[in-house]
Amino acid sequence: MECYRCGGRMFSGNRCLGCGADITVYRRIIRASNSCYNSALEKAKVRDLTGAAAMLRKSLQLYKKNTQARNLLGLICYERGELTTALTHWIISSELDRRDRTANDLINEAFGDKGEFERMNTATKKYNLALKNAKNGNEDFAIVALRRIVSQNPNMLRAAELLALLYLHKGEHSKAFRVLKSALAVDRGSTTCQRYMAEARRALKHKRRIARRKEEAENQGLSRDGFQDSELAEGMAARIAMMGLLAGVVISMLGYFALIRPAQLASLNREWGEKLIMQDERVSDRIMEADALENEIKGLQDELDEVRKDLDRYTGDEGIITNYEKLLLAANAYINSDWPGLIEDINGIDASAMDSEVFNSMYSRLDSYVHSGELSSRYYESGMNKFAAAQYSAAIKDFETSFEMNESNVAALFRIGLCYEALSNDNAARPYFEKIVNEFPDSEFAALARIRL
Amino acid sequence: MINFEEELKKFQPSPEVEDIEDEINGLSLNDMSDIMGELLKEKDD
Repeated sequence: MECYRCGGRMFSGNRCLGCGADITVYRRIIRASNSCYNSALEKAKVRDLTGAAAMLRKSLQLYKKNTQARNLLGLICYERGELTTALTHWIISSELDRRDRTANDLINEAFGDKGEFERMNTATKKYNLALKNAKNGNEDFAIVALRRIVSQNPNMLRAAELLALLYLHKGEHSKAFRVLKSALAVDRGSTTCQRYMAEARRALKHKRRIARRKEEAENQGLSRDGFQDSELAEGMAARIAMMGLLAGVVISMLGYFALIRPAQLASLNREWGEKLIMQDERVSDRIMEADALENEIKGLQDELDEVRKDLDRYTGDEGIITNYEKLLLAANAYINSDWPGLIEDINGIDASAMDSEVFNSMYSRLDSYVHSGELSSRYYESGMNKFAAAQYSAAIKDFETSFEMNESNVAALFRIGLCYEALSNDNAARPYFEKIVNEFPDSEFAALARIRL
Repeated sequence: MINFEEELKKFQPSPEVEDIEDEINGLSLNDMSDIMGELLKEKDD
């Protein structure tokens, strides 16, 4: 014992030699603590672990340094499957009295077998999870987990108590009874187990009573008038059997229409509902596919229009290929001196649509040949030849063409006038001479035209 | 008759080994001699 004030260990009577403190009351407190410890030890020996734990806590409340009480409390907690609580008490015990090796030995024993230690810790974790499931309403999951825990850790009282409670709640009183019986073998003082056991016994007794009454009623019903008149008895039995059969049929049918048929219909409805949903989904998928195809078609149509436009650009009347054809025809006409053909082909070309250098070069050459006066001169020469050959009508056409191509070619106008005169058509000639006089007064043919007029 | 809900509330999670530090810190170690010492101290003051 140490002095409560100075921690000294030397005493004289009821006085501490270190600080002079009166330790009378202190001694009484320690004695009371030890008394509680002894009482707890007796209870623990007869497996009243709950009672022993309560006394040990009281002992420690009186005197916290009662390491014997604390070690025993740790041991009781360990026996009930409360590993962490047990270790807590032993660690504190070893710290409070470093000279006492009991707590350290207990800790080494608990930690020594790693497998056992892991098993108990894992069981604690599983118990916590099962408790969570039970509180969340997942009682079946909790029962499955707790059954496994209890079978592997029969000393884990909390798990056994919770499992028993769940069984009682489910109406499985005989299972609850078995679990509680094993739990009470570990700790017969567990008030929780005792209460649950009382409930289980009461419920089982009630069930047995009902079963007995039912049996008695059945026995009474069959044996009432049976043995006095055997024929009557047989007839009665047959009648009872028939009635029972009819009653059974009626009850089965009622049960079928009340319980099974609605479930069947609900199942059918559910099945058809699911099929309808699937069909609906398929239809939606088809519609989506159709929309996608429609969009694709539209896209392709636009593409086709674009391609047609491009094609027109190449092959249309003023397309690229047509222009090339006309240029070739014009070139051919030029080579063959087909002046009307050359004029027609050159005038039909849309050079603005072309961006080829070679094309434009050739076109420019032919175009300038047609429009710059060269061709006009050729027509004039041709007209002169025909005039000389007295082919006046044909000459007129050439001269007209020559003038069209080159409107400064006054000679051609004059020659037209001469051709009409040669054809004795002075009236037709006159406008041409007048035109020369009026529009080209400074030309060399103006004076000649005036004379003709 | 046992009330399941009430009984279930009484069940608390069991501390795991990883929580041992919290368990030790949470344990009250005041005993009668500590209370007596406090009383005597107040009396002396």
